[in-house]
Amino acid sequence: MVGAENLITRPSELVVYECDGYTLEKETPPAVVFPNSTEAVASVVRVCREHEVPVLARGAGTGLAGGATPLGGGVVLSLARMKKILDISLRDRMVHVQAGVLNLELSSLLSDTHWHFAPDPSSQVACTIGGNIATNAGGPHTLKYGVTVNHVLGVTWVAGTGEVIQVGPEATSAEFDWIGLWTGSEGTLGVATEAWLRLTPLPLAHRTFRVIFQSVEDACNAVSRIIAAGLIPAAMELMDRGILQAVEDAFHFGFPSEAEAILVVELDGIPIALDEQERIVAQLCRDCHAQEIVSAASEEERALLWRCRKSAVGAVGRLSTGYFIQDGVVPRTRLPELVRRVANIGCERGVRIVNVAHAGDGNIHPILLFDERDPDEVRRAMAAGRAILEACIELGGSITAEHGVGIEKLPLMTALFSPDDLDVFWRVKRVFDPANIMTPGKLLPPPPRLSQQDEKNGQPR
Amino acid sequence: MNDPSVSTTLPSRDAKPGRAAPLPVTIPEEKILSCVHCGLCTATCPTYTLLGDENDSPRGRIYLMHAVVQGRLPITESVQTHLDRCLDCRACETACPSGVEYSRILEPFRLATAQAQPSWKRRADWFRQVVLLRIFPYPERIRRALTPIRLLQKAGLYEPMERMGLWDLLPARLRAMLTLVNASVPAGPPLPDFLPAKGRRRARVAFFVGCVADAMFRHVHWATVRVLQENGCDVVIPGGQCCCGAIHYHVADEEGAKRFADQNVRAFPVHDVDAVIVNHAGCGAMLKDYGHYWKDSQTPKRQEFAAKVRDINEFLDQLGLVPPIHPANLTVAYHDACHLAHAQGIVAQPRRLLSQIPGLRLVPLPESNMCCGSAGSYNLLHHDLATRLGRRKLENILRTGAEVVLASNAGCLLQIEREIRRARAPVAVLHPMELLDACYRGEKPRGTTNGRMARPSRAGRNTSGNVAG
Amino acid sequence: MSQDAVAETITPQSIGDAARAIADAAAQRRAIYSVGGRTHFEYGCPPGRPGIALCTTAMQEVIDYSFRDLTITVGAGMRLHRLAEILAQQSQFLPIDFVFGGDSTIGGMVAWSPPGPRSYRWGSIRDYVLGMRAIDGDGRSFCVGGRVVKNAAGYNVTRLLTGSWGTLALIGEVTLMVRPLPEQRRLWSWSVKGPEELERLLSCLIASRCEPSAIEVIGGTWWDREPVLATVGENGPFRVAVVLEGAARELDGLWDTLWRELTEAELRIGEEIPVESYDRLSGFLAEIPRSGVVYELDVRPSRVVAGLELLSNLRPRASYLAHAGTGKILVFEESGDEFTPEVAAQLRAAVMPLDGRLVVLRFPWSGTWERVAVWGPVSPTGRYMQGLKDRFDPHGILNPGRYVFPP
Repeated sequence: MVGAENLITRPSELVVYECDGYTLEKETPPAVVFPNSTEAVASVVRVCREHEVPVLARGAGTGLAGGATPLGGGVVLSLARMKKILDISLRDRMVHVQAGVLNLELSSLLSDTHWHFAPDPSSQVACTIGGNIATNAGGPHTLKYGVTVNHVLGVTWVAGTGEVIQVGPEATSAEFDWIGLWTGSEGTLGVATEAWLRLTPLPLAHRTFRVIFQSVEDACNAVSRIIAAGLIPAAMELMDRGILQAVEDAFHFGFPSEAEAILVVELDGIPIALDEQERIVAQLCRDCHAQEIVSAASEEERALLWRCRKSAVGAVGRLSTGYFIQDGVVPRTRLPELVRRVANIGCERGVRIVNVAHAGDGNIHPILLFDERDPDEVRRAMAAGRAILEACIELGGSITAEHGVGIEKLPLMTALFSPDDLDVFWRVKRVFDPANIMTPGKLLPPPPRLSQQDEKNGQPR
Repeated sequence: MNDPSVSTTLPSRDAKPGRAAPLPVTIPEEKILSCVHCGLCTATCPTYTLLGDENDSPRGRIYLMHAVVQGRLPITESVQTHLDRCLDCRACETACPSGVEYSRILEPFRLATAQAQPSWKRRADWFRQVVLLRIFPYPERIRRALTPIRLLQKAGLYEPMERMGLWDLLPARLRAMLTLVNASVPAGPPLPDFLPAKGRRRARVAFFVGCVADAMFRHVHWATVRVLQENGCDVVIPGGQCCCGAIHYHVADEEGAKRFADQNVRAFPVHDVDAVIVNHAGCGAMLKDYGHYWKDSQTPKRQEFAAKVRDINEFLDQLGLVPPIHPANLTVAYHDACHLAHAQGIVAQPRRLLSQIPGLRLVPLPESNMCCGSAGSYNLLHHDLATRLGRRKLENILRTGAEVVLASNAGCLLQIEREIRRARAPVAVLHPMELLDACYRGEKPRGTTNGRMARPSRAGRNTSGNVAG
Repeated sequence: MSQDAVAETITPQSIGDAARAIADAAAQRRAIYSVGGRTHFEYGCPPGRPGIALCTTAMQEVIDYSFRDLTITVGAGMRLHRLAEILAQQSQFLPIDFVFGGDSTIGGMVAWSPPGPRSYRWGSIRDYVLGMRAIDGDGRSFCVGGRVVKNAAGYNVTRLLTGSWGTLALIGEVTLMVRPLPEQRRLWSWSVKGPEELERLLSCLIASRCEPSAIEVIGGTWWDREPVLATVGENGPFRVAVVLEGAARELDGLWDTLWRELTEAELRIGEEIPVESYDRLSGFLAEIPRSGVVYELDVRPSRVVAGLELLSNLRPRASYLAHAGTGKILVFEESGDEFTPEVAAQLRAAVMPLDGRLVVLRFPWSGTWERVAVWGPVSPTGRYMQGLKDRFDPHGILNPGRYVFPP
């Protein structure tokens, strides 16, 4: 089916596949396969379906919610060897790639053109297109450019039935929006093996600056005001004092050590319009007690600033041996409130929490630090993480904006959705994965049991 | 509950979990735990890029080592294979935001596992015992070993024989080594003890000669010292110096490496010079590491020596280059030697030097910081992977349309030159100092037709439709 | 079967009412046809069996408008012109084209998700629906998505329902992401002599760094009635219109950029035309006579010119609006009688080599049209569509016959 060289079954080689970027839960898989083609993926799925063996797709294993962790003994289907660029058609503003191609590889491949692939998750140096599709990955620039699903034109999909389905790249009114449904389904409906991706022109100019605030709340207020003023910057990214310490240690950027929060704002577009926008943004920031506003002096400085931001989570290793990252999202105006609550939760439970946020989207990543050798510390961190997500739900938000539910946020799905809502998800799941072999036990809690009364009446909530 | 200073010893090969026999080398678990498993390193890892198996990635190798240290895994053949496949290019360290000192986890681990091997097994590896440990560190022995090839080259028979596939009859690793031999270049006499600065004296430096570098790249040494002279440096070439010890260290002969290190520390008059100059990245990285490899009474002296070591690119950039007058009308690509870019963090300096050569057009080399597959003796021990990396490097070089490709390391120069020779591509493979030297002297850089118009070709990419933009 | 089959109309005041009505209908196995502004009821296939029209227009309240968050939640029956007015008070807008005019409802737009000119830059309505409350064919209401601009929790069922023609669930309430209203919109137009010139112009426009909001090719006699467009240039067979949107100074800069790009490509510079023309362009479906046929031809952007050439050969009397950036060609023939299922089949066969798809969006219900003639050959995803249909609408009461599913 895939050949011996594309199969791992030796226990000593399986150990490294027991988790992804989320390390709190682990399980060694019985096997790892490395298919080279869509057909091979389909045969693996078909065989697994026949034998009712769970199967989990894995890209680069940079996910933060345990999406690639083989809990329950699933075969790991690694797409790391499917990394062909199949076609570049600039006339169509489109590339056709296999799922194992790296996100950043696309942009470097197009470096001598003015095109790029817009979704830029922080792990973009390493993560794969397939993984981006599975989680509907976002990133700093989603504020203006949208998330992965907004940039996928077509997909070759292996459903849980083992059938290969090609959708797009031409859209038609005669079909459902499969791409919309599959993107973000975290491997539970099937696996993307190829994709046609939309390219975006690089902006003509950037204005990137960092604004230093005395408090995280001030920074969040500034974000809210900027959006309310009718401006959509390309990105608005927040780092608090805790994470800045790690970032400074890693990259020696020169952030002032006394800064409580830094907001990185990037405006892009046509130069003539940017001057005016920059003036407005600066004024709004000053209104929110900004201490200092510094523009990136050069393209190198801008690149370093972005490297600081995008590698911030990885740099946490400098603060702690273990961490656990949350992905809460609330309506933007509720962000200051959420930040306050996160700080309180940390204090109350004795957990050190540092924050990075895609503030413009209302999406915050509190990072909870612990020593993984101390079970009590781990327990407290996990409880704090849960409390944070409950706060997000209370504030009208959601438990994940871009990392996905995986296994880590599974317990909160019932808090966010009613049994009827979850039942809707199960209807979808059963159509594409009737045997429940595709990444089972992730994303969806076990099917809700409606009481017989409910079932009969079909009463809405 | 855990004391962070606790180090864990390796369980030996046959040990059952939890009943590890103590070994002389300890692995600091804190260093392992500083990896938070984010995976950002994987994409920069040459072996992961080729093989796509997490076991062949930095994150995976750390995971394997951790599992061994924890007693979850014995050191099986496959664990050993995945660890051995590491090129030690340290690209992962550059990529790692958490500052994991990968190399300082891997190196002691490799030593420990090697020492855990029965000694008969180590001795039975003739290649390691004879070629790597007995010939390589000694320039005279290398030169003697090369004599037959040099004669064949002179007689014009070498290349036809290579093409006939005669080398295929030899054992794989010997064959690999043979194909690496560079074209014969007039080496010049051995370097003298001292060469004076030209013009105003700006610095006094000691020059490190090395083993393979001296045997196969003496012309680069001459170019380097001439460039130093042009830049106002008195150059001392201390006698009694020897191989840096890197080969021994990387094939787990720690004692041998230490002997070489201490001989060098004794040989160099560090108080008398502003810097110890080294022109090959592999040697430079090793010399700079003398200070922390071994802890004994000699440690302070080694640290003192290591603090003076400068790569030639780094040194000239710091000193301020006297720009050459003669132009080099060439399209040039620069390859980042791993041990320069990743181990020493020297990336911008050589490019800044090159940008001061009149007429020179420096074009970006895709994946310039990915290992070419040479990696010390790697291309001799893992021939297949090394060759695939070499091919990849070649394709990237050809894509730039450059007439010259530069690298500041002996291994890279050999590896890239072999690929260029095999592809019969019209690209000269030079050390940056050779190019600078030629521009000071107003000579044509070796292997180039200086002055030719830059070729506009951008090699074919898998593109359909009209390429706009 | 025709519109007469739907004699009775109910107008529920709330989602609860609607849910009860659907549950009742489910119990009696009566068909429910969802309608909003009735601006495009003749699109799609006719009702498959007699049933009740469920009109959403009473569910038209603003449930929440967090203008600082750029989100709004409204009842599905809200008409688009009213939504636009509410948003405009905060200088915001929903960046989709009102292809059926302002009288159509947001629910109707979400149910079909018709393409519009500006989807080139702004995307389609799918990209703006953050969450919804809907009622399935059993009368059970459920919520999907939410009120945040990024949400990865659970399946994106909002996208599944958007564009499903109301066959999986009745959309009761939607939360939309809105955007700051651009200060200005400007239009330029070209008259193009032949396909080769058209291709060069389109290539240049698509490669442009100023990313226009819309790149439209128009052709056919319908547009001669459009005074603004009819007088453009030398009246070549193809006319191209480009829309730029932004702040006033930004627009100057964008046009300068485009001007430079055109000059470099040795292409003519277009003429600026009055901005009102845009509403005529984007809303043309609302104005065309009800007797005509409308169909969509979907190709890749690079094949738009080939598609248009093919069209002008086979259907010389058709008028069209081609969204050249997204590859959607909307075709209109005034006399529906000439466009038979055989013609559709012939056209469909002709676009096959272009990987093109043909869907007949509107045809005279008096004729005999098989589903395959309307929607094209059953796609490999057909069984999954049916699987979802069976689970969301087990009694087949939601809009039977109207979409790809057999009644």
